[in-house]
Amino acid sequence: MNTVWKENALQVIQDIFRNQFFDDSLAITEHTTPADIEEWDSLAHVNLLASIENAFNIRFTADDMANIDSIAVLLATMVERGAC
Amino acid sequence: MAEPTHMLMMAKEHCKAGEHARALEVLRSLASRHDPLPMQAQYARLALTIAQGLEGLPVLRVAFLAGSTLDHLVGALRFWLLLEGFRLEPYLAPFDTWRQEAADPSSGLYSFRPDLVWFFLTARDLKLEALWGDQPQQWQEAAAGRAAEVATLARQVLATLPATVLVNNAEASATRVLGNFEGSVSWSAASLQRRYNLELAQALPAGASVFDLEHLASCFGLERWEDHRLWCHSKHPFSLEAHAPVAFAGAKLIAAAKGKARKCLVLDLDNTLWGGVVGDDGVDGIRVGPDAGAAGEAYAAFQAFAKSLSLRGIALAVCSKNDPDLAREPFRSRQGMALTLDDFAVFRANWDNKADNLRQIARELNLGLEALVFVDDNPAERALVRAELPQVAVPELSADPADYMRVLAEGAWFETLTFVEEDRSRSRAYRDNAARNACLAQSSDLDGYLRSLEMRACWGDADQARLSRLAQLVNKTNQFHLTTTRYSEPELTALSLADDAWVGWFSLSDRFGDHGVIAAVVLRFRGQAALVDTWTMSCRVFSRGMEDFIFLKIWEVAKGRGCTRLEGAFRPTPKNGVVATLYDRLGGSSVQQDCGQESRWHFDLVAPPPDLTHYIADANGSGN
Repeated sequence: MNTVWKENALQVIQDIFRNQFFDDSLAITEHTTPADIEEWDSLAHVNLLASIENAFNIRFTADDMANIDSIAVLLATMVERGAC
Repeated sequence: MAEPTHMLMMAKEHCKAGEHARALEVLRSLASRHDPLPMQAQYARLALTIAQGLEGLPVLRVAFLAGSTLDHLVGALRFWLLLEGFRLEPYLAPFDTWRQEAADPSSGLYSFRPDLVWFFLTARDLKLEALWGDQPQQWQEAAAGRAAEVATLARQVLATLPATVLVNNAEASATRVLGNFEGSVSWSAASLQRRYNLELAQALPAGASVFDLEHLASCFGLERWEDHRLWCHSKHPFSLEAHAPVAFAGAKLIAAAKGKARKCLVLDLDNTLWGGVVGDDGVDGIRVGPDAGAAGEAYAAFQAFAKSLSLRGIALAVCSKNDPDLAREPFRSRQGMALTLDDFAVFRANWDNKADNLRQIARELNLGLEALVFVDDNPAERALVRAELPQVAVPELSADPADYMRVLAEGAWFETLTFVEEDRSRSRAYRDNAARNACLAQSSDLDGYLRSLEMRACWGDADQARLSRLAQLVNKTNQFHLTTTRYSEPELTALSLADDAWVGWFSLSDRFGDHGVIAAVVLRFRGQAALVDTWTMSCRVFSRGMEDFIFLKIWEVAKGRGCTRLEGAFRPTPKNGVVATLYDRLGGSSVQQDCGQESRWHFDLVAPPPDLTHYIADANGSGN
């Protein structure tokens, strides 16, 4: 994974998370998982993925949506779906 | 206008500062159901905070019965209902238990005590599959049988709960096993779905209404509507993008069920009903009708749409900066016009400012400003009215008259759950009222005027034919409504059959026309006392002495039951100030008066009835 791309992507993802959870101090790293963010429930999950699809112009599969359980997996899946 | 992201940030800031009303006003001017998903998600999120923070919002308890995941829909609906002035208190029945929940009186649905029960079904829940050429009887039974099953559940809910019921019809499918051929045979899945929708509309009992999911899916576009991926992943009924339009439509319908639909369409003239300026271009120079090019066609089509609205009971009015005579001339002599002067209840063409004219129009029609929709091509006039009269709905027209009709329809300001005979004649009634007002203006004294109207009233016990209209009066009237009690049609039916209650109707006609049924009364009898539980009257017949006539009849009915005391209550709302002093004027003695709260009144039925002078003949042939 291209480091520059990853850094930029993390920035965009962080903005999306901050908007979703109304928390401007939220810091997103590769290691963040739903366990770290209380409000990251199944409803928020779908919203987050939809926003990421919009921002990167990609489309996750049904399986992707179920399998993404951390930012690391999210980034890898995004690459797989052509975001990079 | 500020950038959407900036406005959203402002709304969040207001929210954080605890200024929830300001946050809501920012969102009101920002949000459209066509906004992108990330925005919609944030509206829903903000709505949660605002709904909790805003005090005094009426709460709407809505129970959802569904075979799909509705969490996103509930979030979106919370937001759109908030814009209509309600706080949503949802109940989500466990996934795919809609049959059991509705059938079991001990289910969570019934203990929730909802105001509204929404069978949020989709075509998936009905499993209407192709019957491969089977006999007509089978496909008729398949569709009608499914509709009957749903209707039975709706009936059970209505019999148990004082609630309004909404039932989704079935949306079409973008993927078809037989392709185009599905439309050619009656046994295909597509044909069964269509048949089911017609059967459902017929089978639903009074008090239950179709929520037209099929129409919403078509408008949205089936290919974008369907999201099988989201169904497979989390059992969402349709794509996330479709949630806002569905929630918007639902909120508008629910608001209408709560009496918030608009009642009058106010139209500008120049460049709104025709192209050009009649004062400059002359009657022959304005553009309207098929002979005036594409724009002429567009203006004529918009006029025809306004005319159809008036035929279904929406009052039309003109509010135009114009010479009063010249403004009327196209309606008299110009070819290609769909509207005539007779279609308007009020016609105000002058040089006064439009906010004042709109106030005057509302006054003449006995309507609140929140009953008006104002259509004007001029952005400056729209901005003025929005600033001066925020209660008036002002659609943002595009520069192309060909869009006017769509923009007006998209606002969903005139939703309704019923249609009764009175709706068909309502426009004429508004116009007759304007004629009465003109007559009053010429008349030197009020008594002389009232006498000259030659009013005749009929009244009686509620019967099957009048119950829909009575339910409409009880649920839609806000001004002349002493207690603001709301009863669904089945509830009113039950009351009309009860031994300890009386449900009555009143109608009024005069030499200008027939108003039809204009008042509903519910009395409850407790021992020697008769309690005026509900008394509501249409604003069309205010100040005519009709309330005196009705009161004397209430007196008669209560006395006929052997009661010795009549009790009435007034519960103030922001809109029913017109009846605040009614019982006082009728001679009641006040027994309780909480400051700003309910006041209670007693009348001694053993004494003679109050000496009320009115000029209404009892056309039942009894009394007066």
